[in-house]
Amino acid sequence: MRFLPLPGEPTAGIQRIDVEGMIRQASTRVRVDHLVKTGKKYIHLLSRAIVDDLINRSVRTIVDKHRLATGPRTAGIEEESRTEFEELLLQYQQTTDATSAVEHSRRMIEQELPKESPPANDRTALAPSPGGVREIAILQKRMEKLLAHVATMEAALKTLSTAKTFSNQQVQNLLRELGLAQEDKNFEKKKEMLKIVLDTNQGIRQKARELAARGITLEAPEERAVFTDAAESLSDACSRSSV
Amino acid sequence: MTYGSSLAPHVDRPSEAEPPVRAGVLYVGMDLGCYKTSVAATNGTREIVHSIVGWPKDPVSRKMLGKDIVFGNEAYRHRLALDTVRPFERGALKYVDDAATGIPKEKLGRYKLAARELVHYVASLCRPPRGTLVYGVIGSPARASILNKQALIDACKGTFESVMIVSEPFAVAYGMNQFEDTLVVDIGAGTTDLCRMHGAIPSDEDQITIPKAGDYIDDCAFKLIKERHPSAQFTINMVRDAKERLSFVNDVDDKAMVTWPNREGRPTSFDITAELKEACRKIVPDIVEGLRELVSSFDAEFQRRMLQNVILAGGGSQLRGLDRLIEEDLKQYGGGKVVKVHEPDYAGANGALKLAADMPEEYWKAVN
Repeated sequence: MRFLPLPGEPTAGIQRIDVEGMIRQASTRVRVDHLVKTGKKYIHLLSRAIVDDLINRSVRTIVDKHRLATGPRTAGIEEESRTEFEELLLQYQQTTDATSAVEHSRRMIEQELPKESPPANDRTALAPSPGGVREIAILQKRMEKLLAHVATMEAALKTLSTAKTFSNQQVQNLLRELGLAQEDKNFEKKKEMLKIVLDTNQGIRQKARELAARGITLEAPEERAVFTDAAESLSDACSRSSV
Repeated sequence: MTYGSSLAPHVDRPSEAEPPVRAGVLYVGMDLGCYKTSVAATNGTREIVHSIVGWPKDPVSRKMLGKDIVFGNEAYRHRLALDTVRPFERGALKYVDDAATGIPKEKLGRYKLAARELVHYVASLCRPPRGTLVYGVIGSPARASILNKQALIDACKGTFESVMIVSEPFAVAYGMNQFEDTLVVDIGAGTTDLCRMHGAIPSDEDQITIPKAGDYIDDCAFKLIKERHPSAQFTINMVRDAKERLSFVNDVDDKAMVTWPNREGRPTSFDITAELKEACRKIVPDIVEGLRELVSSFDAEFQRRMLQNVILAGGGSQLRGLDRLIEEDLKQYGGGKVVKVHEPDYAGANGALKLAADMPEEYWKAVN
């Protein structure tokens, strides 16, 4: 702990506490003859150095006291921080590994590409053999297919990223196209069920219209048990359509 | 059938000159319950509200509420200042005809209007962006009639661009990907729906609707408590609240203690453990009987497997120990395994949403 630096004293890095100012603020200025008048013959004097020392001591005591009180918690926090740090480090390492793997793959592809498909002017210079020409043509076709696939993927991703509200169907189709969709083992079963749900709902509407035409409503239900039967609705619908 | 415009223009109130722009689709799954309605949408909305609609009783209440019509939880909170209607109470519109509900004829129009307004309000909680097509799948009781289903479709007019109705237990099973050898028990407020899943869409023979569920328990508990604690002052809502917080059907040492006013209006503690337990247990024999009926009429080879996969859904499935009690009762038929769904209140809505999301676009257009 230091007093305010004297003029010319370096100030950087010093914690400034204006002890003098604080004492001045906290104390009252009294004339000596006034004290004498009030019967005070002896006055205790306290030097600045001692005030400084006292402040230092009390600060140290408080800090020590708090350190003792928060000791175990600090240890816990340290332990937690260490674990978290290790996790983060691991994640970072994994990310770095993944990035380097991607970079490696990219380099490999770049190395492979010129081999598979040399630029047009190189091709003339190389003057490939008749067998080689066929191979190059096949590779070119494959490349075209790959590029088309990449373009589709890019378009799909663009659609996904720009659309404000997606249709789930659309998203699923795009994900399937990208090979990211998890295949549903019940897909076929669900497809059939959805068709039946549609047929049943169409049946409900059709039958309700017929009942309404006959004057049968909830208020006046002539036939109480007109339950939905998917099969019945379907057969009814079919017979009607055939007629 | 043609519907009005989608919900979005109603919500956002676009100007008349502005032509509607159809961009994007919002799929909504809704479980219209007698007591509570849950909704889930593809934009992540998940809400559960009281199935209640209220109109201010007089100009004072109108001024206090600042609205001409109040819905859901707000209507439930201010029900004393409102003329309230629970549009689906006692199975109204959902699974019985109007005469069977015991609702006076002159009030039926109001019930239909309330149903329509409630559906519109619940769908608006999903906040569809302007111009979005809103497609919905609504759960209906397993054995609802054509007229009931049509009533639900009518209630959705003007809210959804297109709507489909499916049986509630089927929606639960679909949501859980349980298509084979499964028995679904959906215990709601008005009905308990049982459904047998055997790899195909369930027909009428695969489904049973029991008119004993949460409301029946409340009524029984109310009568029993009234009989055994005549000094207690309480309402059916207080009994329902106590049931939701404290009910259990298994033999444990827990106590269901409530603090209700006595005759003098002084708050007094009442032990209603026995009454609640007795009331809750009353629905079990019917459920077990229904399960037995569904299993015994099924292929003998698969009966055993089916009993090993009983799923409890709906608010009533939250009764503590109900799964074990049903298992106990099923022992007489060779035993069974009962499991509760993860989110009983949302199981129906989640399943309906999954159905809606899987439904091909052309089906939505074809159904109208």
